[in-house]
Amino acid sequence: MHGERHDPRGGTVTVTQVLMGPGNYTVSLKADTPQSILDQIVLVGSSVAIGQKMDIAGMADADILAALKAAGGYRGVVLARPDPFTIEGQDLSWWLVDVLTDTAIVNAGSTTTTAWVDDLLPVNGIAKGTVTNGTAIVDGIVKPMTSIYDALQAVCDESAVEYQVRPDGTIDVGPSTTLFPAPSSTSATIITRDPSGDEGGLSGVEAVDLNRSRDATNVYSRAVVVHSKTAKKVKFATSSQTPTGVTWKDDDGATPAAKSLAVLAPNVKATRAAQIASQVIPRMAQDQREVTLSSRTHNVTAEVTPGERVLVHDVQSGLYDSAGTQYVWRGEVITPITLRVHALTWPITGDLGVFLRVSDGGTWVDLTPYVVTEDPTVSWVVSVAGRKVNRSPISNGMVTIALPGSSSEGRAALGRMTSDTDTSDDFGTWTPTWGNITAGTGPTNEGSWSVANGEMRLMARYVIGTGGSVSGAITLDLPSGWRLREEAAGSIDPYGLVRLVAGGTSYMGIVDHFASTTQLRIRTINVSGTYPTTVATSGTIPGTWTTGDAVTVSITIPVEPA
Amino acid sequence: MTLTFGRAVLPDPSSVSSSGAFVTFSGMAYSSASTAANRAAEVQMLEAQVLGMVGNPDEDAFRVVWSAESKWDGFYTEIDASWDWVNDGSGRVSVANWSITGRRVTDYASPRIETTGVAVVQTNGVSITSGTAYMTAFSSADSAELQKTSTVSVTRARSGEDGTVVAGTLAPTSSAAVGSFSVSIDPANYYAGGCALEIKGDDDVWYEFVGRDIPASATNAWRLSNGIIRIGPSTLEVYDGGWQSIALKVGGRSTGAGNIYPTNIGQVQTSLGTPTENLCPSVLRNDRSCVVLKFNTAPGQTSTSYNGQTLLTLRAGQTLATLAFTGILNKYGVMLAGGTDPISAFTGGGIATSADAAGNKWVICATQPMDAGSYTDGYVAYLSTAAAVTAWGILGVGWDLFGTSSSVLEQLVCTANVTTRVVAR
Repeated sequence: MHGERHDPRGGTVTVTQVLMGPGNYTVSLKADTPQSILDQIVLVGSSVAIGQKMDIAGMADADILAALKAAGGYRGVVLARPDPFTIEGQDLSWWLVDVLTDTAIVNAGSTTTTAWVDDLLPVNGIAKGTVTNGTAIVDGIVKPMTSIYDALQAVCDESAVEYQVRPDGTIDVGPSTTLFPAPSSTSATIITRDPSGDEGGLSGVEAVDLNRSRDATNVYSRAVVVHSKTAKKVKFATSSQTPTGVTWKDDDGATPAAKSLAVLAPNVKATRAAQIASQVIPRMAQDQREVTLSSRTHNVTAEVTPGERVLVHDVQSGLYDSAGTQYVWRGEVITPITLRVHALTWPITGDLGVFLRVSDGGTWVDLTPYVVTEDPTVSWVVSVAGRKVNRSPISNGMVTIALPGSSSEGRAALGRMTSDTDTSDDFGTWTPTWGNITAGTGPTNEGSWSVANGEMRLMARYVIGTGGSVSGAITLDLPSGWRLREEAAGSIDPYGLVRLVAGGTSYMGIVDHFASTTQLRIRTINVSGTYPTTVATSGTIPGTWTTGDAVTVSITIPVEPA
Repeated sequence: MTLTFGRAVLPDPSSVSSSGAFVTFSGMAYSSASTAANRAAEVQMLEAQVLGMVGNPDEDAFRVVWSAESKWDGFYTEIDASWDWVNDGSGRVSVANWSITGRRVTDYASPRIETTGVAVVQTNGVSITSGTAYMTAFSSADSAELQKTSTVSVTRARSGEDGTVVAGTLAPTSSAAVGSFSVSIDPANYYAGGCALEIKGDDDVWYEFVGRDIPASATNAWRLSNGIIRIGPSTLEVYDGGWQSIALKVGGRSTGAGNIYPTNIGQVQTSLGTPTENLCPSVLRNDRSCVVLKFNTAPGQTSTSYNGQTLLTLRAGQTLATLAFTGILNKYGVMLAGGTDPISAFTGGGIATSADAAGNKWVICATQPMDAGSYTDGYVAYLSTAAAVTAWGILGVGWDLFGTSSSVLEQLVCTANVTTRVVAR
């Protein structure tokens, strides 16, 4: 006789959701599930949807997905069948992993979050949902052969936003407090040791096992961001902060020497390095606090998803906020602490619906009658601002903009080494700054540069406009953010030929010297003597400069970030 | 001879057995009341008091005092109890075999009872930025072993039905005050000075209720007491040599100076001015430091569509009870009647103009400004500005027994959230 199937592996029927991470799920089907149902469960090309019970017969795909999204359901790709009756997989973000950008994505200037998301999505049926802009990203580059999943994480880091995968196959992006609003007295989930229940606008969840851990093993009081130049010379930016949540005294009772966290960021300029340092240290200069708890409440997935901010109150565990907002809860005035849910593991209980969506949604199968259900105990991981758990690291340093970002919720600082010597590749166009050239009306001024292994190949061209001329010795500034490499200063003179068109005649000129660490000196060549010398340009040297005359420079020089 | 286990006063046990730290008492429960109906009522209340200790969410230890033999007196946790009714031929359910097992707490008769609290100054419109918040109170007879954190103050200037009590207080300001306060107490005096939820049995006797599983018979037959003040659905009492009571109603007015539609606490009205049934309260908390009742209606509400709630809270050591209302746009108020004391307004409420025979004045106050005046049957203070639909209107009603109207208002605005546990010495 067929009976309740006992999973021989003793596995559980659960879903684990993680903030900005793939999570996983397991669904077990009973032993008497018909073969016709089992045969429709195909790997990759089908997904499992879990939400409130629905009668899906005759419903359109879009309507089922909309209902799922509205009630806070879950959808995951079917990835594994350890045995014919068990389905395992990850959430829809799996579709973004290992899908690589074949070419670089370059967005010079200031680019909005929305524009960046449009560059990355849609992929494999996963499209953008509601996008709210964060900080615009300046001169961002995603290199070729970068996973869309990693690139999305990096864009979110750099833009100070987060993302949330929705069960209808869209991804919502926006600042953390837009996607996951702070609790208010009219709408919040509150976790206490009191029984579950709703009161006013607060939805109560009973915590069964509540554990609050604090860990200061990896606490830092200074962040050092190294934007290395060469193997011999190291440039870095620092930011210090006295750690909170700990008593910052050494064994003699004095203020300790700084405990420094080194962040390797070879791709950045000095100002950005300083910004990274000041963004990283607040998150690392505190003890890591994590609260794990179990609760017994049904349908938690409809009420809480990872990323949400919930209220927690348990005086015995120190979970209250002495300066926090007051709430009236069960007849008493309390000041709960606000924590973020980072991970949630919840069981598939008898009051949930489980469905199979095959490929494009043309076929939906209701698996609910065949699913083995679980005892309703939910495990939560919530934490105060600190380091984020389960945060996937950026892979291989391939993403230029993927540095410890500016989101206010803590995440682990990354260190990443690319080449061990000089500044890594960079390139761009720029509007050159020239000295002693009068523009006139309608000049042409353009330039481009690229840096590889600490060598900058630089091209710049200026065409004088109507009524313009040259007024003295012409100089050319390096693109902003770059300077002559320090050990080269004073010992190396750059040499490169320059084309000077003065008075309509083409002359040979030369870059022969660094006027300063960021400025090149341009001269003309004088052949009046036996040996050629270099002479400063002027309004009449090498010719009388007038409309249409030009200066073209092409040179390779040793540089470092300024 | 009686065995007092928690709040239940049982006849002598017929056997007591120990196994490790666990002690099991068993015996028969019966009553010596004069009528069969009263005997049944009493023993059924005993059952509720005993079974309410099992899995109790609010109290972690219960006291035992056996008048015949003090050897097992002390505090017990992890209570398990059974109650088997026997047919005694009377045609009523009035005799039972009971058995209670508990783990005896270390230090036997005199462990340390620790109360930890977080106190805040409630957001208010009556210019209070700091003050004294009461945590809990114990009989001062055993206050010899008093330990406390530096943030806690102690006051002994309170006495009620249980004699003089020592109360622990915190002093919150713009941020919360946190502290703990411990006493070592004789089991016989454990509940003295604390709160109790009392329910009147069918025998018209008041019994102290244990736990949260309140029977429907508690409708309109309940009261909260902390030995100093007592509040019921329509009465407010104070103890000063004896209990003196006045009539109490709650109500509200939506606009202007119209009628205030008084009702009992937790009484619905189908139309304004027509109160109908009393609702049975739900118990949100029931322990010696604090009792909270909830009613699914609010003053001025005539339809079930407003999600109205009334919360009644009483704390040990305080001279006031807190009423919190929500659900309907209203200027919530409390009406008191009795005697001929007119009401004198003050910022945040009203106080009886002249004292009663025992020298005490009743007080109505709120965390927001109130207007005061008279109504048909007495005197009223109600919120000057209507509370918003989803906000709580927090009012207090009590007596100025140990202070003035300001100290009573302060007790309302400065409030502590406490837990009491039995801990190691």
